[in-house]
Amino acid sequence: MLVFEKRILWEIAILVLLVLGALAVGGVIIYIATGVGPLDAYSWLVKGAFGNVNAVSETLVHACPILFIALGFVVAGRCNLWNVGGDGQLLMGGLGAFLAGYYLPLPAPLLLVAIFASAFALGAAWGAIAGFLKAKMKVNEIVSTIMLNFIAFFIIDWLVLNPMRGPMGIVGAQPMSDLLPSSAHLPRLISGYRLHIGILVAIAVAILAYILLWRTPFGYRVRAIGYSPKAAEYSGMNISRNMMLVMILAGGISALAGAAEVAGIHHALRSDIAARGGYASVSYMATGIIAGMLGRLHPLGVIPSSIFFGALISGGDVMRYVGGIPYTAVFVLQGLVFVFIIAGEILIRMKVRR
Amino acid sequence: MLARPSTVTKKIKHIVGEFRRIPTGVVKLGKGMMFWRRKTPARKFRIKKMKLGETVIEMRGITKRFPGVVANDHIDFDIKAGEVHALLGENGAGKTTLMNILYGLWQPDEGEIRVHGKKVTLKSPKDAIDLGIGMVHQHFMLVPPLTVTENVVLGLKSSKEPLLDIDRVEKKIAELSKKYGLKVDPKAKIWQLSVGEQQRVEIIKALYREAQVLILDEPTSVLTPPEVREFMTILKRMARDGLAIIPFITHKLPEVMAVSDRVTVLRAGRVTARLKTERTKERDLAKKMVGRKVLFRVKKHRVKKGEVVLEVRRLRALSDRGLPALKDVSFSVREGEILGIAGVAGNGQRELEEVITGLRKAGGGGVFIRGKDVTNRTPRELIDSGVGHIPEDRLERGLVMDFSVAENLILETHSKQPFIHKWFLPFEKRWFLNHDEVRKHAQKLIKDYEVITPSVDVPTRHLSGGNLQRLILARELSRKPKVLIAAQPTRGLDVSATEFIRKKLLEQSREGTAILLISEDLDEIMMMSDRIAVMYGGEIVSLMPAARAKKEEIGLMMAGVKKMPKRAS
Repeated sequence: MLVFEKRILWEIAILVLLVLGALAVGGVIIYIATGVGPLDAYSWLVKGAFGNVNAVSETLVHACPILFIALGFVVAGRCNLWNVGGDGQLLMGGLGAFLAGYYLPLPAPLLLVAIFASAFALGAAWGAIAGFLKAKMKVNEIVSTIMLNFIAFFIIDWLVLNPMRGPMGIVGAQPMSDLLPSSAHLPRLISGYRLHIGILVAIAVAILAYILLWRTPFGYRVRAIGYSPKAAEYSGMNISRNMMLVMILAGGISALAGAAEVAGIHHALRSDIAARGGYASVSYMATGIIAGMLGRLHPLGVIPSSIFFGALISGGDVMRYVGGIPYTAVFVLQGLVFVFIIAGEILIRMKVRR
Repeated sequence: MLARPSTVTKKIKHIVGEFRRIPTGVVKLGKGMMFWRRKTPARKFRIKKMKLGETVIEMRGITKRFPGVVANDHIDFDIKAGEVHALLGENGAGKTTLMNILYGLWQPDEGEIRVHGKKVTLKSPKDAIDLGIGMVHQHFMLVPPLTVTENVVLGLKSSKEPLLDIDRVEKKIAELSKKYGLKVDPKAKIWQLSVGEQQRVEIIKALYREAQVLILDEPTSVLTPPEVREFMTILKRMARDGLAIIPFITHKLPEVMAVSDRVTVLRAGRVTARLKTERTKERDLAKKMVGRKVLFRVKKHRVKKGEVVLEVRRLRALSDRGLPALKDVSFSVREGEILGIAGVAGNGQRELEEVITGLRKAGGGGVFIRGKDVTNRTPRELIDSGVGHIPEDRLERGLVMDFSVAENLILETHSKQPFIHKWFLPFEKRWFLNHDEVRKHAQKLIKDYEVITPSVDVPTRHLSGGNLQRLILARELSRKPKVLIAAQPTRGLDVSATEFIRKKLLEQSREGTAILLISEDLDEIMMMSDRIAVMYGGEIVSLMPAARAKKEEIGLMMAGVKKMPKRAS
């Protein structure tokens, strides 16, 4: 037992070192690009991420959708499926959340449950498409989930431009729907700050995902298929059925990010809820996948890694406003972390010497 | 005005010559034009021209240990130019280890290798190739969409770098194939070629790299009988031309007799005989290969046979390559009986194993368990109707290597009592794994089956081969199967694990399980089975009671030489 606890500590130590390495390289790049010393830049980053109540609130606000998408990635990843459809699932989840919040005449607590359930259902349906294609027709899930992202985006874009366009019309070049009634807003955790209960739901889902994967026969099957489909087939598991179920589940979990964004932050449906900072190419999905990798594909491991990326985003804002460092620096850091953890895989796999 | 053609040609020739003469570094071309020529990786060793009968390679006292086994125990081996020196031995006797050492894939723990009398250290196959050693693996290393020529030059420097010099290579291939009778079309794509032709490409590949010593791994196992005859002529022709050839072969003794000049027989990692082929007989070789008395013999008790449990009727199935692999196979196994299926690998045993366990679709015929038709049912249904399975491919099929020992022991039963329970929610369905029960189950099994592991929570990956097989056996037998399909259950295992597994299988048959034992190990089949079926070319060529079976006869039938009437019993 002791050996394996050592192994986990070793992994964490290596990951921390890799992240520090990425930040060091990032610091050099920031210095070369902007002339701002890395220590200054990072002190703003830390202040912006954890310096005061608002900073912490913003960090967690951003960590919330990242965590949901990372979980959707992790659950599928444990079955050796690459769910890179987080954006599409988030958007469909946003639609589900909006429809439930806008049309269902329910009292507040029930309405919130309905919002999450409806988001989950739509995301699950979206994941099921990729799952069906994979299980029945052996369509590569990476391709299908990516393509479904585009389809989801244009569906939502069309909806908010046409049938669902709100009375405010187009706000800042961004079309959006009508606002949700206040009973459909996710309650704030601290009044006056944007932090909402979504983060608690996300952590609860992480724990549930852990229980599902490691404590139930279903999770056992999922992991067996992920590790060795041949052995799973040999032992009588229904591989295509379980793959479908996993994609449904992963899609549903990722979609909860859409519920958090629509009902917790925007209080309306927009087509840019998956994009971050106005950069459509860098979405919550991209960050969520990196968080999933940094969290070693473990539902509990992605909690700290998502908070780390949330901190990068909120701290990046402060770096921009105070230090004049372009926000893209955050994307550079994020990319560097990704490269470092992938390249560092070999270190992580190294045996612990006794 | 244009320069006269001859001057241009001259200039080009000069430039090319210049380019060739300076092997590395900066090449000056006319005025101010400079090229950097990449350093050609030079051969580390010089290949000497060989005289017939001269010793090319000497291996002395080669010892290689793997955890739990001594694969090579002070082995001496040598080969002369112009001879075919066969290396004979059963699976696991150490042939592959020895040849992999010679090819630089592994380093010996002890001993030395001399090439042309000079001591060498082979760090990688590249060193071996540089020394003129070529290897043709049993599973060919060719790229299917490329042509023969392209495969031959793969990884080599072209003389017209950065362009390919296909024409020149094609000419050379044609030369080689004419010289040795290696008929092959240099322009053909690999996927269009038959297995025999592909093998020729592999040999040409080695010869093109100036191989003087050719190592051939089970060269005839993939060939049809006429191809084998042709192949042997080729081998002889190459030997006459001064090449040294080492085929290593498991079973087919007539081929060894026909083609080799000398034979070295390995057994359990040691040399048991080194003789001139003309001075020996097949029978003697077989004895040397198998050992006079079979070690680790297990005692077989008479078991009362009950009713028929497993029946297979006129079963047909296709192989992965879409060719008929099972042609009307029929047999039955009764309660408490062990039916041994003997045969050289690739004669339909794998397909038979997979069809009976639901992993491959039958194309005709039927499988019946206690009279119930279970043809083409899913593995789940077959498991539930009492089929246990020790798969041939134990690392990929039999275990999830990343799972812990305890998790692997519930692969088929994880959703059944007692491994599931209500956890903290009052669900009707039992949704949660009962880890205490799972671990208790594992503790008991690793004790009963003497699995050596630090704990039941260790990833299975960390266990040794014998322990992995004990684990599979423990899991399958703990389900109390009515029928057990055991495919190559002791292949590659050490003595103690082999003995243990055979003992357990016999014990299980005493308890009434019908066992289908598929094995390439003829001794195992002979000592374990009540009846023996011999498979060849997807058919059961003979079915007889073990008491009447003679080893030589079975050996001949396995090689497709002799056929006995099917209804012998």
